[in-house]
Amino acid sequence: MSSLGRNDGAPRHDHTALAPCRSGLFSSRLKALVDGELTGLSTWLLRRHVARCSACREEMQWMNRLHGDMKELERATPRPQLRARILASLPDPLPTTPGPQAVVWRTVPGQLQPAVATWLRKPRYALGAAFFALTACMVFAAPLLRGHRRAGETYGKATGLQAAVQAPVRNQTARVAPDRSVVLPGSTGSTGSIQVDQSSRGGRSPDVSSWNVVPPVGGAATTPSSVPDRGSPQPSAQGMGSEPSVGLALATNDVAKATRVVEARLHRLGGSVLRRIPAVEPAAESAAGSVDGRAPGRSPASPIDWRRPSEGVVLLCSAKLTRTRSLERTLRRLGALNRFDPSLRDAAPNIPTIQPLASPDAGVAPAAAPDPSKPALREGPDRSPALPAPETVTVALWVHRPASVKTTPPGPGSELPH
Amino acid sequence: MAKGDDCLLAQRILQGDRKAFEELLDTFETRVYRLALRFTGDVLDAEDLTQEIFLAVHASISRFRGDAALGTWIYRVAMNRCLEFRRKRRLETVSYEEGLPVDIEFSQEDPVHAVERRQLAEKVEAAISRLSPAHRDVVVLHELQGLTYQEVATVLNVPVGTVKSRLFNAFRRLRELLGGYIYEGTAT
Repeated sequence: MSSLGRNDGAPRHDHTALAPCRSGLFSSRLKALVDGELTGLSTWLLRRHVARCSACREEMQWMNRLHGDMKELERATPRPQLRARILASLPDPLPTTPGPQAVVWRTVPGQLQPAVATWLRKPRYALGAAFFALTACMVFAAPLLRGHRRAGETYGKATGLQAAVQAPVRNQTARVAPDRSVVLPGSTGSTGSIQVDQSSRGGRSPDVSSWNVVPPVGGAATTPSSVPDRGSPQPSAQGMGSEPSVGLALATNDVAKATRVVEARLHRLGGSVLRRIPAVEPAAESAAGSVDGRAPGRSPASPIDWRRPSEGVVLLCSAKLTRTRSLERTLRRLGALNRFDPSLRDAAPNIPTIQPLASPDAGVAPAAAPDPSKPALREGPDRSPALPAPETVTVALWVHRPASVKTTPPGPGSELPH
Repeated sequence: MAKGDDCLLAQRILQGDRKAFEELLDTFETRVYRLALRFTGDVLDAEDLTQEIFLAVHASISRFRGDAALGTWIYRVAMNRCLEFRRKRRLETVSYEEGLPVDIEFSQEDPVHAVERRQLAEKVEAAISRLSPAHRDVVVLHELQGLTYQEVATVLNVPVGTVKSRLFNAFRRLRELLGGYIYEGTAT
């Protein structure tokens, strides 16, 4: 690439205004000649032409150098973790070729399988076999269905974010405690809390460098005391059940727009916003709105003015996980939403803690502090936590405008893309 | 890699030889990753896409008949995935990764020279990104990935003549876009 230089002084030569080659037949093949893709007579004819035509000669030189320089552009190398990820995601055991197996199957002595196939070709036997299969399915499926009902009953006593999702819609308001923890409403018996660590500010995902999931404690832990203390060892995250709950905080100066961005991103992640819960801080609680951003005293059509200080909303979202998109990567994607408003990256508040509320009148529970003994969840297969791998994850996103940030109209750099 | 070696490697992967798949990764991981990075412009997305590509390669290795080189076949799988990614992204109303610069590392050298090179690299990158998708795909596969015309034609499922004309037109367009930058010594 050293052959290139910036034309910051007087232009030495305008290469875009070359005298065109009068023989367009040859010039269109110059690139192929540079790449050595011409053979025989074509090469000879074109070389002969280039020896006489200065325009083609110069163009060929230009192509030659750009061809060489562009090769230097490709320097990106994958991170070492990628290889481990790919190998870890391979199905185990590896599939074997189906062809030889089929041959072996046909040569098994006794001809049992072909005999069955011939038998099944007769309609009455086929009908009987179908009836038998249906009966067998019903017999075997009954315990599974009973199990499903049991699972449904368990789900009715859901914990964490699931409970918040299932809670009655009316009068559902998340509260922001003075310590900047967010308290989510939940049904009776719900426990658990989510902590989001914003320790990492660099890179492309500043808000999800690590997080801890605090599983529910006991069965009827409805009091604030049930929340683990800072020093107490926290139970395994596997206790959360099949659907872990995690929380993220997004700082923005336009909550409504950020909400739309979240919805668009979730759509890409195969998820959706399950519920929108207005989040209010104690100072603004008297003017708090109920669910869907409607203030109690106002007409149902008038939404909360999200541009007020200390405003925010908790979005309970579902995101689909796949084999290649883990929980962590999903959260990284959602956390990367903070990129749209770079002026607010440094203005994000302290680590928020999202807790389900034990009961509507239980007040604000003390925030669960992060457990220093628990390893942070970071990227890499070697640091994967003991979280289960569900297909869908529920994520609480606290989209808020920090009160400390001045209300400034978003500039062109902070405008959300549409 | 010779054709016989390709078939042998594919056969070993089919038989469940994990080492064989690691050999395949050794050869193609970086190239596929770079291709994915070209299409995504984001490291995380590129890693996801690379993983999906290799999983697809692994799942469909039984369909490799040995007509083309294994590399060409892998590129075809990769391009299909990359084009699918681009199509999905086009449907998105909100995009976040657009305009993210591709990280380019430069070795230890004279700082002034390094800055010049970086500026030029960014300029060339910007010019490539402004090409039409058809032209850009050909440039990426031939110029950046080093595939021959025939291989590019196989990967994109177009005639070789189309590859030639697209490449020529792409370079014409690049010349227009890079008008502010000239080659030292080229001017007479």
